[in-house]
Amino acid sequence: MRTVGYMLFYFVILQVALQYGLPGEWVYHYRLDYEVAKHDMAAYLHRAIDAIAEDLHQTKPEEYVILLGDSVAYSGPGGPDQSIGYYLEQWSRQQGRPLRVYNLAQPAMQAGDIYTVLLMLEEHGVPLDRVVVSLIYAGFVAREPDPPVVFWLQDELQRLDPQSWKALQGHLGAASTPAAAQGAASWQARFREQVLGSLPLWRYRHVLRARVERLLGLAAGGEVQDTRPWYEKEGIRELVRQPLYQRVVDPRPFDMTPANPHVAMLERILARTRGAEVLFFLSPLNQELMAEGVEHPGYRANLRRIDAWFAAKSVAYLNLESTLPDDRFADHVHLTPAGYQELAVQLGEHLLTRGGGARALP
Amino acid sequence: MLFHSPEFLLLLLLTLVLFWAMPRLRTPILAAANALFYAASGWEYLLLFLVVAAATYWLSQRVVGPRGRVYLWIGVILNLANLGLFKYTGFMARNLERLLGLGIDPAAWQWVLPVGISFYTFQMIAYLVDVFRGQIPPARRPLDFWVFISFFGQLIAGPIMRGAQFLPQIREMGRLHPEWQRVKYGLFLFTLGMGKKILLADRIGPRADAFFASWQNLNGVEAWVAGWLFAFQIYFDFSAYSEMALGIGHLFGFDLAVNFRTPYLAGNPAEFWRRWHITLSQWIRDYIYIPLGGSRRGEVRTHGNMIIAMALSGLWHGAAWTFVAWGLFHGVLAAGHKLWIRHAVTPLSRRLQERQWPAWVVKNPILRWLSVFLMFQATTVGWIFFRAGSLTVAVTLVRRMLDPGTWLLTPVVMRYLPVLGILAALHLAEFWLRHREADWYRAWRRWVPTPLRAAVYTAIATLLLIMTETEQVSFIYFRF
Repeated sequence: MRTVGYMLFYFVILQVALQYGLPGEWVYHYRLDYEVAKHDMAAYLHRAIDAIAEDLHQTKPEEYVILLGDSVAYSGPGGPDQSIGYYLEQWSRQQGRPLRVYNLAQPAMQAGDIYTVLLMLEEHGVPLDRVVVSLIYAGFVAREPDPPVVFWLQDELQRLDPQSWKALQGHLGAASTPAAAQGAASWQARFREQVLGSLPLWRYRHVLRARVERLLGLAAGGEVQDTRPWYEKEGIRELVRQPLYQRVVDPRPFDMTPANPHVAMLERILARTRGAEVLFFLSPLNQELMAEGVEHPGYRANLRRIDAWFAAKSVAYLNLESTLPDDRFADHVHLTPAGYQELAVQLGEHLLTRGGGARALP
Repeated sequence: MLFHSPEFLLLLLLTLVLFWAMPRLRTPILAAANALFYAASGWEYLLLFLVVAAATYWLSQRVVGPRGRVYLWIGVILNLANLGLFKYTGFMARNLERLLGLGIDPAAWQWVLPVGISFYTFQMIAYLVDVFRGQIPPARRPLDFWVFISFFGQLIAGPIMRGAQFLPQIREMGRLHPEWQRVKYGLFLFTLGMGKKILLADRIGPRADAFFASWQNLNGVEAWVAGWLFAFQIYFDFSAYSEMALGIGHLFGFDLAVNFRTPYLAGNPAEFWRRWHITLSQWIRDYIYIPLGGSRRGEVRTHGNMIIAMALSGLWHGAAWTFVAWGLFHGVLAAGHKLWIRHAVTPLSRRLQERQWPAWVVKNPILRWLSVFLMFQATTVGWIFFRAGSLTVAVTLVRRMLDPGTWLLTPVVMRYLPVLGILAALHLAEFWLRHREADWYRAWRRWVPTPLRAAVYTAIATLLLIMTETEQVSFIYFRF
C-alpha cells in the first residue's frame, strides 16, 4: 500500500506540474499543431485561445492580428517556423513595427468554423476587431452536400449560437460529419470532457503524446510534410485532375446569396465583426498547375463575383489568387516556405500601410 | 466498450469496489456489470444474448434427463443458427449470387455482427456438450450461468472458458477474500496487455495496413515485411486482450485460462497451436476433431479430420474464403508436418541412434532454432491469407514472397528490418521475462526502493494514458 501512496503523491505532483509548468509553446507555437488539435479541435482551440488571452494580457503587444482560415493560413505543408504567422512577425519587426500574430487557422476549417472561432474568442474575452480571414475559391463552390460548412466545430456552434446552428440544420444534416466532431452529447463525451478534463494530464495528453512521439521518432506524419515545390513531386498533375482537387477551379456559376451556406456564414462573420478592422484575402492558386481551370470563362466570372460581393460589403479584401509565382507552390493551393514568406509580406504591407486587421491595443 | 477506454476503467473500478464490499451480492453485481458492459454495444444485442443464454440454460437442465441428446442438438443448433444468421448469411448470399446469379443483393443480407457472438456461441456449445457428457453438472442458478457465459473480462474475445474451469469458481466466489498479491498480479497482467495494445499493436497496425493497401506494388521482400508486421500486430493485439482478461480475472479472484505462450517460438504446427489461442485450439480439438474421429481411424482420416477441423476454425474467424484458406493452410501444414515426422524424421533419428551418433546431433539446438525460424515463416504465409482482402491478393502476395526473382532490398525494406528485429527481440524478451517472472518480481522488490518503484509505475501509467488513441482502435478479434 505504500507504493500506492507514493503513486498518488507523484500523480498529484504531475497534475500540478502540468497545470502550471507546461511550456506555452507546447500548446501554441506560431499556430496550433494540427497533429495535436485534430483529436479534439474544440478543446484545443479553447486552450490556445486561453494562451492567447494570457499572452495579450502579459506581453501587451502594440499591434496584433488574429489569423483565421484553413490549411493555407495554417501554412501546410511547412512547419510552424515556416508559417505565415512566423514570417509576418519577422517581417514586421524588420519594418520597425512589430506585429504579433495569433494564428488559429486549421486544415479543413470552413467559413462556419471561422465564425465559431470568432464566437469562442468573444467567449474568452479576446477582442474581435483585429482579424485576418483567409478564404479559398473552393469555399464558394456548391456543396453537394459535402464538405459541411462547419467541419470541426458543430457542437461549439450549437452551444454558442443555437440559432445559426439551427438555420444550418438542413445542410449539416445532409453533409457527413467528421468523427472527430461527433458525439459530444454522449455520456462518454461528457464524462471525458467534464470529469477527466479536469485533470491536466488528460487535458494535455495529446500535446504530451506529440512530444513523446517526436522525441522517439515515432510520429507517423509529423508537423512538417513535404515542402518541395510541386514540380518536383511525381504524379501531382494526375492527382489534381481528380474531382476533389478540381473543386478549386469549378467553373459553375457561384450562388452569392445566403442560400449558399458559405456566403451565409460570411455574412454572419461580417455581422459579428461590424465596426472592426477585418481583412479578408482570397488565397493564391497555382496558375500553371491548374492552367486548364483558371482559363475557363466560368472560373474568371466567379472570381469577379467574389470581388463584387466584397466590394458591395465595403470591407477590406485582397484578391491574391494570381499574385504568387508558380514556383512558390507546394501543390495546387499550398505554398512552399518561400511562398508563405512572400504571402506574409503581401499581407503585412497591406496591414501596416493601408490598415485593416492591425490595430494598437487601447 | 474497449478495455483501454476510460469508461471501461470506470466500470471495472466500480464493479470491483462493489464486488469486494458486498460478498453476498457478488453474483448479481457481476451479472449486472456484465449486462451493462454488453449493452454498451447495443441494447438489442444484449436482448438477443439474454434470450440465447436463457434458452441454453433451460436446455442444459434437460440435457441430463431423458431424451437429453435431443435437447443437446436443439441447443447446439440454436446457438449455431444464431451465429450463422448474423455471421454467415451475407457470406452465403454472396456465394449463392456468384454461383447461381439469383439476383440477390448480398449487402441486404449482411447483418451487423453482435460483438463476442463467436466466443459466447462456442462457450455455450461446449457447456451443453460437457453437461450432456456428464463432465459437469448443469449450472444450478440462472445468474451463475449468466455470469459464466457473460463475464465481461473475457466475453468479447476469450479466452473461451469451460464450465469445469469457471462454474465452480463462480459458485464459490461468495467465499473469496481479497489477496493483495493476486490483485498486484492482476494489475501487472492488465498493464502488460494495455502496453502491448497501445504501444505496439496500435503502432504497427497502420504500417501493416499501408503495406496491404498497396499490395499491387509490393515486391517479394516487401510482401514478407507486410506479413511479418501483421504477424506481430495480431499477436500483440490478441495476446494483449487475453492478458488484460486474465488480469481482470485475478482482480476478481478468478483464474481464467491462459490463451498465449509466446507462439512464435513454436518449432512446429502442433506446438504453435499449443501456444496460440490455446482455448480455441482445445475447443476445436475436443468438439470437432475428436468427434470427427480424431486419430483413431487411420492415417488418412486423421489428416483429413485435422484439415476439416482447421478449415472450420478458419471459417469461425470470419465469413470469407480467405479465412477458410488460412484454416486449410494450417490444416495441411499440420498434416504435412505429421507425415514428415513419421516418415522422415523418426526413421532418420532411429538410424542415427542405432549407429550411435551423439545425442546432440539428434537433438541439436541449432535445429530447434532453425525449426522455430521456419515455423514463423510458415505462420507468416498463413497470416497473408488471414489479412488479405481477397484470395487473389493473398495468392499474388504469397507467390511474390516465394519467388526469389522479386526479392529486392528497397529503402522501405531497409527501414523496416530494424523495426522487425526489435519486435522479434521483444517477443524473445517476453518469453524470457515471463518464464522467470516470479524471480524478476522478487529481485525488483528487493533491490528497488518503494519510492522508485512507485515512480516507475506512475511513469508507465502516464505513458499509457497519453499514448492511447482518442478514436480507440478496436481489438482485431472483436470482429470475430
